[in-house]
Amino acid sequence: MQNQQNTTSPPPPPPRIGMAQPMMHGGNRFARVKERPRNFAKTVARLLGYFREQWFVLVIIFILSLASSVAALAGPFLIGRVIDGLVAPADVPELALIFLILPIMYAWDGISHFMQTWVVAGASQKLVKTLRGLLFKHLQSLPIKFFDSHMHGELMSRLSNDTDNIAGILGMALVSLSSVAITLTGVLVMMLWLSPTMTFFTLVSVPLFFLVSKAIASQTRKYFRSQQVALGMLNAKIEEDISGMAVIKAYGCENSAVEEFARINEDLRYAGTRAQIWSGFIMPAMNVINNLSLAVVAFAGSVLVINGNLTVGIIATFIAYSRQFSRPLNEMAGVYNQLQSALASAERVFDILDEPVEKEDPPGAVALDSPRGDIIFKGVGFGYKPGVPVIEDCNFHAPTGSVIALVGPTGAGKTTIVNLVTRFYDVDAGSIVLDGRPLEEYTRSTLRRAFGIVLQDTYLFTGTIMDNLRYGHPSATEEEVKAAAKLVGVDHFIRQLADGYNTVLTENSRTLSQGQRQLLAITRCVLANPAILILDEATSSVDTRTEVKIQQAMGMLMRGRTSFVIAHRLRTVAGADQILVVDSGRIAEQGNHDSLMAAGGIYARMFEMQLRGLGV
Amino acid sequence: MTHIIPYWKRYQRLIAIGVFFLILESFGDLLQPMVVSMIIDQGVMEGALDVVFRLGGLMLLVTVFGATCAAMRCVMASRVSQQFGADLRLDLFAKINNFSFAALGRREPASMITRMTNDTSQLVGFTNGMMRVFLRSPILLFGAITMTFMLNPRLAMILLVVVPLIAILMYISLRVGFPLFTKMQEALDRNNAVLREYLSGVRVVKAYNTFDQEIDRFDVSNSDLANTAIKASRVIGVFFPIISFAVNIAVVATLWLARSWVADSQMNVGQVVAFLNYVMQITMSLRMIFNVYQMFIRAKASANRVGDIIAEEDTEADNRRAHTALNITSDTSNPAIEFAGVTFAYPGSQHSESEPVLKDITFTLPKGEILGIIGPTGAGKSSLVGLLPGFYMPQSGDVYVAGVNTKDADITALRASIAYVAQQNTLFHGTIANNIRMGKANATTEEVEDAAMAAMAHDFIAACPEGYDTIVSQKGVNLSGGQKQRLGIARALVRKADILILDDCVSAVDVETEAAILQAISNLDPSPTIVMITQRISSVMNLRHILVMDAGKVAGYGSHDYLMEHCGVYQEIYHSQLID
Repeated sequence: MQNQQNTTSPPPPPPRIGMAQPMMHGGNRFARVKERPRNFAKTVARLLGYFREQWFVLVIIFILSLASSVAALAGPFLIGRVIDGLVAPADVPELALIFLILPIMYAWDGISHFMQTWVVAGASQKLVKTLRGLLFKHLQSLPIKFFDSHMHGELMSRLSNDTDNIAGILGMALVSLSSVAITLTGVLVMMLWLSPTMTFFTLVSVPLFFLVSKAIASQTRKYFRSQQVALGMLNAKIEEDISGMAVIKAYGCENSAVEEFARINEDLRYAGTRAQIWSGFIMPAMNVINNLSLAVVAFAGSVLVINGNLTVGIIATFIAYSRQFSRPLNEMAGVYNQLQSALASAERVFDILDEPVEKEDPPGAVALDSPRGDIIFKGVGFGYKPGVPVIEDCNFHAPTGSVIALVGPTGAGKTTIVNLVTRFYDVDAGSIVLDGRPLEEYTRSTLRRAFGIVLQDTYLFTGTIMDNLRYGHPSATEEEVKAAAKLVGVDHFIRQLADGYNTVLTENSRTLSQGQRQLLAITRCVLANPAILILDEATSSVDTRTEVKIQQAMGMLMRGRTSFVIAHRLRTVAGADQILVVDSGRIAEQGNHDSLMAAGGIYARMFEMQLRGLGV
Repeated sequence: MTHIIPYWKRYQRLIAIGVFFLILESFGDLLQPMVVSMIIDQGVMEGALDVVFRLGGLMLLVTVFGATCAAMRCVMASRVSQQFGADLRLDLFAKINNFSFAALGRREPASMITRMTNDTSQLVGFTNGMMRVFLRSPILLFGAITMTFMLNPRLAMILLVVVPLIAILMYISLRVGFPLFTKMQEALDRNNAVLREYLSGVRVVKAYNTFDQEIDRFDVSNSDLANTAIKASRVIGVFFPIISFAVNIAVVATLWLARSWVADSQMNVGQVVAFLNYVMQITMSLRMIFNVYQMFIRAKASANRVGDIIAEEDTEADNRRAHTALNITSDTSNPAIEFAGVTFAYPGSQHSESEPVLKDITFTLPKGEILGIIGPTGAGKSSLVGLLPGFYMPQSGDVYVAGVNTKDADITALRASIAYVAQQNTLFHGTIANNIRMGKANATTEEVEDAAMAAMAHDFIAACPEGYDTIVSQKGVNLSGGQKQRLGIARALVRKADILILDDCVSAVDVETEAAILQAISNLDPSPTIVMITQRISSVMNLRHILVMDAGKVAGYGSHDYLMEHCGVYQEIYHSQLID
């Protein structure tokens, strides 16, 4: 587990290629285009490390490879004997026996091959499942900043395309490599036993194999990497496009969207073509080397036969062996090459796994058991990007059970205050004290449980309305859910839907208006029964009559709880215990409605304006 | 595959060149065993070193030639398959961009993404694989079979038993494998959907601390994906060992028969070795064919999924052929907007028709006027304005924009005449300037800045170090709610369209800014027809045209004074907003 500090003094953002700096949150868009030195062996070792829990599978694969390799080795030998038998039957008395053994051996070969496929399919998919699971789990502990600065489609590509790539190749590679190792050793032993001289001639070509495959692999590695990067960016483009289709259509921007897509698509095509061409060169190159080796063997063999040192049968066997020998070598070259692709993907996966997690709870962090909700901001300062403060020297006290309203112009930092109090982000300066302790001293999970947040952008998940309402309190009974819905005033409209509480919500479904979505989000929050309520523009899309009803209901709910309310409709906040007017990251005014009106400052001016009405 | 084949036809020339090299390459491969057998029979057996030397050289020559052809073939295959993939993806993307909302609504976004990436990759892999074996392996296979017949017809009869057996096995594997791979791609869709949703809703997850819940959810789809993938590859894995066994048995049978024939001097040993070499070649060809065949089975599943999008008969697809020219400004006699008995329900899922959200809406808005729409949550306000740019077509009744029925209008012209600011305004990854320019691609810097100023966005943009070149993150997460809304408005204003639709798009903007924006909009020259949805009664009370909506119906239409007299819903809204 990484325990790097990533909030108090953020590391300098990695260099980006051709992209300007986002303005507020540090964002590294198409994550990590940076070239860091990649260590082949390290990545392989790490990948294999995930196989640890499946070590017995590796053993089984090895045993099965051994079994089928015996067949692969014995085959040519026995056939060579048969051919010798054809030339001089008297020399090979065991001919009948060989004819009995061969079918059994081939059957065994088939069975062990199948078993290998069986085991490897399971092992590689399970490995990838583990990887995906680990990635997803790791996502849970990454700070919000990470999600704000990575394209979702790009992350999706890493979790699906890259892991899929690893699965496809790794399974194949494992089988190949273990059988290659065994076959090579076996063939070598057999050859040495038959004729050390001939063996030498067979091995002449081996260094060539390595040189050529290494040279080609260095090319494929480069292009596989850019291929996976381009694929991720393409995924991101598609995802963004589909999410924002309404705007694209409304403005007739389909063509420019397609043009931009075509550009990334072309990058992908370019890298893909190069990667494929280079990896396709492996086999022809190997073929030349094979036959070169074969020619050497045939020539040397003839010389030896002519001198009477060898039988023709042995030469035939050696020719077969030289193929037997070059096949695994070819395979290894191919696998090594394919591995480059898997490793390019693995590196992208590991990049995420290595992403520093949210600052871990310090040793001795306390569980926030029964929060009272007494919050003090002491000289809090914060910026999403180093050097660009959004909040400066912010001080206020929210006693237990009080309602704090945050008002002020957009972009003044109201939502940022929410981000800080919930520890979505950590403060750069000063501290936030909850129930007498700085936030950092609580375990993050118990801290967040104390809050109920309804955000500006409501998000509902795919599933039934019931599931969505229960989200923060999965064990709520149906009655409890309905009671909360009644409180917020959504029960009526939910029951009007054909499937009532079992209506399935999907991203595409237009079943709900924006306002209704907000109401559901409020209900979800009410049901979670938090000690501290945060309503960030929670009712901005709700009509005012409904809002009044919600407020009455919320009034009961807020009793005894500390509440933060961000709203532009000042009417919504007039009843708050304390109104903080936030302007340019500072608290410009502070007080209740009456005192602020009396002071005649920003708040009073804003209020007057709303009261007067804003007809166009 | 029917939708994929036309793509392959596009690269006929490259494919032909590739196949040409493939055939040359195959000749090399076929000659090789022949040369080897000659080396043994004429060289080694006879003890003729010069023959071995000569034939060995010939063999190398043949090999180098073959390898060169193979490399050329590989270049062609890679170019064809990657170009094929790129074309396919681009067409899919363009197709999806032209989908109507009804068609989009029928599909899970994650599934569309998977189809454009993963499924397309399967097809690319198969195309490339096919060009590796296309003709070549069949040629090698039949070439080898022919050679065996030429060497010894009686011996070759064995193959006549083996080959049909293999054909049958391959057929079975397709029948068994295809549904499994289809399931696997669907599992991938679901896994992607869970992931995508998690990423979109990550703030909620963090806020509710529901990590375990999310991990469980992901675990379900993740395990499902792994299990279907395991099953598919295991089932497919049965076939090759069986085929390989069949060929090996053929080898044994060959030797068994050859034994007596060699003894009778009907055959010589070199022939037997050559024969075995050909059988080995047959095994190799079969292995290659089967490898690609496995890809084919998977690709067929993917082809169906991709073809499904290509073939989508989008009955409401955006109509781009100009039926009726749409020109609002020149035609003053027509009202800007007219709804005539409009009833509309969102297209439901395949089975259920959903409840109408708009019922019998009728009203007329003259050109250049401002329409305020107000009404309770879920009354159908956004649905109503969504009909204007032709996002959906009403089930009954007609919507006229500048006197043209949206059903007949050229959709490009229609949308060009409208600037629409949605309630949930999406920004795209790119610079602020580019986001604003979505409204008008060729807008000058001055136009962009003017629009930003009118939308009260200029100041905050100018305060950024990079100004208008500041990068907006995906969905604008690096901007505050109010900033996002103002950019959305700027994007609409730069368009200078005849109709401006503002769907409750200043909810996150503070009052002062809102007042300034509305002031700027009312001063636009030329002044557009404006449709404005709002929650604030103060925003509409000075307008001549206020449409009050309630439960999908028009509850009242008229001026403030008129509505205060005649419309109960309006009165209630008014009173709820009075500050006492």
